Amino acid sequence: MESPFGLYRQSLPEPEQNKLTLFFEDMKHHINLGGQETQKIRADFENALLYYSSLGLSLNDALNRLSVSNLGGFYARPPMLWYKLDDAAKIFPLSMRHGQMAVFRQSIYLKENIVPEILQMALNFTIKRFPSFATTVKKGFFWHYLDASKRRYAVEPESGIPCRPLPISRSASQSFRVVYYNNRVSVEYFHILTDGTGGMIFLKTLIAKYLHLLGTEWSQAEGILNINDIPAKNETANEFLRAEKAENLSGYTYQPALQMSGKISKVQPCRILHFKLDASLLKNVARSKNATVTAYILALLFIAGKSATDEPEGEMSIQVPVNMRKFYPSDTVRNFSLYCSIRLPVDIISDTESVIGNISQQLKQETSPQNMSRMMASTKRMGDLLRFIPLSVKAPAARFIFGFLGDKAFSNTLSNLGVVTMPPQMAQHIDSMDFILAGSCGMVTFGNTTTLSVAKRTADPSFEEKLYDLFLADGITPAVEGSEEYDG
Amino acid sequence: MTVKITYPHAEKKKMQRQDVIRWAKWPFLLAAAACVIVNIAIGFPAWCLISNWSLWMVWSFLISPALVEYNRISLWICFITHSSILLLIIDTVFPSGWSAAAVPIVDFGGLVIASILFFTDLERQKQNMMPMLLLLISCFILFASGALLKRMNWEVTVMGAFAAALLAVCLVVLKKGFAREIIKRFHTR
Repeated sequence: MESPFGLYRQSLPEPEQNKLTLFFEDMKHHINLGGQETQKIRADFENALLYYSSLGLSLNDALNRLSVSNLGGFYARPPMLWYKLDDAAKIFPLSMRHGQMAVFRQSIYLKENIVPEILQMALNFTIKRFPSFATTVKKGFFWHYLDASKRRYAVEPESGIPCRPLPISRSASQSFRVVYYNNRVSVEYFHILTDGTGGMIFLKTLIAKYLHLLGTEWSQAEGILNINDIPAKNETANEFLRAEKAENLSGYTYQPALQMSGKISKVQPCRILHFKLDASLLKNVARSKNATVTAYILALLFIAGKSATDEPEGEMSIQVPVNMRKFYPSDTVRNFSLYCSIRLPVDIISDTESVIGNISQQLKQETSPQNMSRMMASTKRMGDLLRFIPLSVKAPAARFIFGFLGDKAFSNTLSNLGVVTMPPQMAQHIDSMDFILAGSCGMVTFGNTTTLSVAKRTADPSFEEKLYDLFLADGITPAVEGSEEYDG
Repeated sequence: MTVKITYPHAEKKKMQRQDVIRWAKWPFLLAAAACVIVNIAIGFPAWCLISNWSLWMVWSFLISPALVEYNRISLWICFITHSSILLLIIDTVFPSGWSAAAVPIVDFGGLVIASILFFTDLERQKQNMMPMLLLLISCFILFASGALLKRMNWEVTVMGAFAAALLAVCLVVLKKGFAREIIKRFHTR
């Protein structure tokens, strides 16, 4: 029986059939993967052409949009590149266990439902611009590394739990996944690949290509890469090598922090919640309290955290990732963030006003360029110290230490990606964005919507209920969206 | 607080790998400890070494397999290496000297299968060369030990010769790729 594409092809006049034949001949020259992978990419082109045909787009226009020159030489050349892990990434493969992996997720909500055929083509075209993403994790004698992996990277309909571990053990397995659901496109990354900033550049570039394939024209904009440019070396640089020698190294001191009292769920995260907030209102409320939005949200998280713990004394600590590009301007799409810790004794946490000054002061102090530079130097030094210890010794030791300390050093994490912008031609197609960090809180602002996402570790609802009440008390009414409870 | 559900229903797997590990961990640790205690109580030979190594093999192959590089070559080489060590332990605990022949035969067979797996899917598998290379190095060490201790037999000779031939073929076939693979695998930064 003829396939839908075969029928479509037959329905075309002969000159157009010839055009298609030439198009697929040309496509073949751009792909030198195994038979199956090539077939899959060909099928992607066919599906996209069928979609365009269903819209009534002329074959010429469809072929222009899907021009095979967008494939570049990525699929034609054998995998040669490899990447040493940056200094922040080294810990992630060392500390992972079965069912536990540092995964974060970024999503863009469009105003229309996603067209999977076009999204797949957008990914096929975009991946070549991010060579450090088109890799698979490998084990060296001393360190893990990323080895180039030429294959078709697939988009999948969303079906599982967000931020679940990626299966990276097989040959050529990928360290990120692209999923779609209704009007949402999400990319989940193993942290070994990139940080929030690098991830957002990938997602924005992917969406830009997707919208372009759907006919949106736009001018080049900040944070969106031209997929047909040659990847620059500085985009995959390990920027930790820029660390200056510091006399006083800092960071990595361990003090246990109070944890939420509910039973840790077997399924992680056990629920996703998004608090969608009016960005300008949020900014005004924070300003009225003489604080930044981050400091204000941190204050709410401390208060909500206190309501979710039974411990009468001790310290709560919230980890705040810091984008090092602020201090060392860089184009790298790999990890280039560190973190600071904001700590408060639980007994002084009562209302926003009582803690916000302390938080603002700590934030200013902890994220000072001097402090972060010292931490960067410590991170690099740690890597240097461990460099000649075989992986077979490092890995179990790191797993033991991380298993013992990792979860107890912080009560929570707040990662604020800040305001994400898109060119106006694209922004009109985008509704909002979100940012999920497994087991923590992530925040991102797009347009006038700030989305605070909570990836819950316990089924106890007191944290989010208190958070909701705190927003209401300050005159902000959040729209709450999310998932069902996965451990129910 | 009303939550609008914007995620699809996720089917929960009945048994996850981490659940298997959680359940199996204590029986395995208890069994290992029991073997040691019973062995100490009964006295020599130290058969608990055999049982505990076997338990470790079951653990690392079936219960908690590698999280990175769990491919057919690495899995096979790991199995051969573990089996060789097991044979050596058995022959050490119950000495009769047969491992001098058995281990080279097992390693030779292991190399033959590994080379078939490697060369029949070369484009994909050349990124998985490292485990085979480590087995090759182990075979050379075994061969050199046999020569130094003047305990050469035909099994060791055949294994050593095959390992040398395989290394030569890898060098010829992979050329610069061989050196690149070594640099990748042994980088220290």
